[in-house]
Amino acid sequence: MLTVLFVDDDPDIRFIAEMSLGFDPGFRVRLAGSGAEVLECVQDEVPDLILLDMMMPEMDGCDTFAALKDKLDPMPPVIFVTARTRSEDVTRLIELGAVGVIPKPFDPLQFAALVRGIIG
Amino acid sequence: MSPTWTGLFGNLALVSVLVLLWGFISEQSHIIPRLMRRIGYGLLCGAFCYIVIAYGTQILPDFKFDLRHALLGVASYFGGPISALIAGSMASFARLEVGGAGTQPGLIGIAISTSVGLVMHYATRRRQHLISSHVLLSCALMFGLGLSFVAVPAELRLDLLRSVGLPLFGLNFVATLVATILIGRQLHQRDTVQINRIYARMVQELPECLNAKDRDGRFIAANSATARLMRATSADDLIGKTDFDFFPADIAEQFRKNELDVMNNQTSAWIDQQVLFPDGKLIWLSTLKAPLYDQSGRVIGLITRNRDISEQHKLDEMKDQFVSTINHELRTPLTSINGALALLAAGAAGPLPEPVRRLVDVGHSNARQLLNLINDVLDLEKIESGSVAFDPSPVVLQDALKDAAFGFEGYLPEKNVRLRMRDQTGGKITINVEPLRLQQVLHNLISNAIKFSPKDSEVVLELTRDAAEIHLAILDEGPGVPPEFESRLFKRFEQADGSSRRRMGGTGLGLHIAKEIAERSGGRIWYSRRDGRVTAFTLSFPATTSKAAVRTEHPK
Repeated sequence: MLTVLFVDDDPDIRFIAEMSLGFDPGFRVRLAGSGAEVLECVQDEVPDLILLDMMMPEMDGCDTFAALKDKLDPMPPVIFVTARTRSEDVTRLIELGAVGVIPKPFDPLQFAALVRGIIG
Repeated sequence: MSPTWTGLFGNLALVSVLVLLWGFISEQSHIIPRLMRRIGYGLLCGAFCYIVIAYGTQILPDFKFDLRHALLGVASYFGGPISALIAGSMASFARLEVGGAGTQPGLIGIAISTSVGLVMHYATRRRQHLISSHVLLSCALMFGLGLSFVAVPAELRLDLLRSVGLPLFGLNFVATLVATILIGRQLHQRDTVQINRIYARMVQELPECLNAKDRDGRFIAANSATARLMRATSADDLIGKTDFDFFPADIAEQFRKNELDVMNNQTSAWIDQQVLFPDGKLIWLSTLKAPLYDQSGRVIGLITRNRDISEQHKLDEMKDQFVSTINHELRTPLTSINGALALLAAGAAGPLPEPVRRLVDVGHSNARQLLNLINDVLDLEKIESGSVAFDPSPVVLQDALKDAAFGFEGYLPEKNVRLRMRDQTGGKITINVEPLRLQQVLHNLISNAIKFSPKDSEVVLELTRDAAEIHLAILDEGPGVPPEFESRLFKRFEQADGSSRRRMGGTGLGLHIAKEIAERSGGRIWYSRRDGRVTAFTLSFPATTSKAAVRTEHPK
């Protein structure tokens, strides 16, 4: 069983992602609505995988990623979920240390399989 | 020297005074209206005629020889009918006063000279400053003068011609030529000054900054916009100074280097540069520099045009920001709507009764349609605004087609359309294009082809080449495009059949985007119908534009 932490500031998208990831019986889904919430969340339990939204108010995806890197060792794999999918944006995120980038909007029926494909 | 020569030389001196006074009147063109000036020219020439006729040396009792013909010719040639009438009348009056047997030929001579000048006035209206016109006038006047001798009694004619012919004709000719050339030059100069004043005024008022510098970088001319840009008190304040007087040395050095390049290479240069001005303002300048030549084609400096494009830059940034915001703000709710409906339709919340399932389908397909539209509009905006970089890299077309076809496995399975490659080039073809954009176009064309194909048919991806171009055609057996629609095929938001938008899920932007991409990649896209049953959309790339861009590799 993999614990997956899905982070997005939009509650609707969190709900849909929770349901989509639920198609994979091997995922246990946890949710967070902001960077601050993520940092709080990982104190109780470090997830096996983090799905991180890019555009969030206050702490955006990159800020959250950097804060997590400071805090966690070893760092769990992170996949960015973002509407910005120009090749230079994607390259930048991979260089930053993400294991993958999933473009928004994602297909809820394929989402879980996509995540599986990235983490192998 | 005979008294005739002496007298006529005296006249010639008068002609120079006439030219001087003529110039004086002509220079007052801004205060004296044209009609008054012409009256002035007439009076001036008339008065001089009066002087030379009434007070000129009398050689023979009844005859008077002088330079009146030159004076009258000049008056009517430059001054037109009004000057001609006045000068002619005054000359006739003077000749009548003198009287004698020569009166009749004298009056005839006056009439002829005035008429000749007038004819030349109209004949050369716009070309009065040409030397050839002046020579023609002088010759015509001498011919007229000759004619007036017909009125002289026959027994006197030869004697007269023998004694005064040479000085009379010669000096009248010279006087006409000298006066016309000098006055013509004056007029030309006056026009030039006026034109210069107009240009100077236009340049002064231009909102763009214009200036000229000499080879050493000193300002030799500048308009007021330049003065404002440089924070100089006036345009005159700039003259004689250089950029080093206004900018820190490193910035001025950079300007100077650009200018030396322009002058040494004798080419124009367009430079978009951000410049830090001494007062701390950062301004985007669009600069054009071009060499300045003298009459012999030698570079004597350069002219510079500067336009402040800071505002434009700010707008561009704002637009990018706006597009990016729209992108995010529109996609976020749509992601939720789409996701929710997709999950519902897939039965994630349990099985749905038939009417509910249909309603969910309607919602889902329309939400998807809206998302496609937003994607296409944003895509198009990015391509058209040039914010998409077209970084070409070598692409093997055969591989690109295979990649594109691969993406369609399992697309619309109920149609059972097969994709087939037909390569008639006999070797791998590599062209320089942006690979992702080529895929985007191919994807668009192939999905269109499949959508419009009949059931159980074939879509062919055909690769051919001729001397000029490499053609990449997508062929289908669908109904094709109605002839009346062909001209609008690649325009935005155009679809042959409005209902197909709903049925096929297109946005009406796909072909327009494909065309934009094809053209920006140096190719073109076109539609044709083969044998009345095969529809072809063809992407053509030039085979010869550059040897480096197109390469054919033959299999070993």
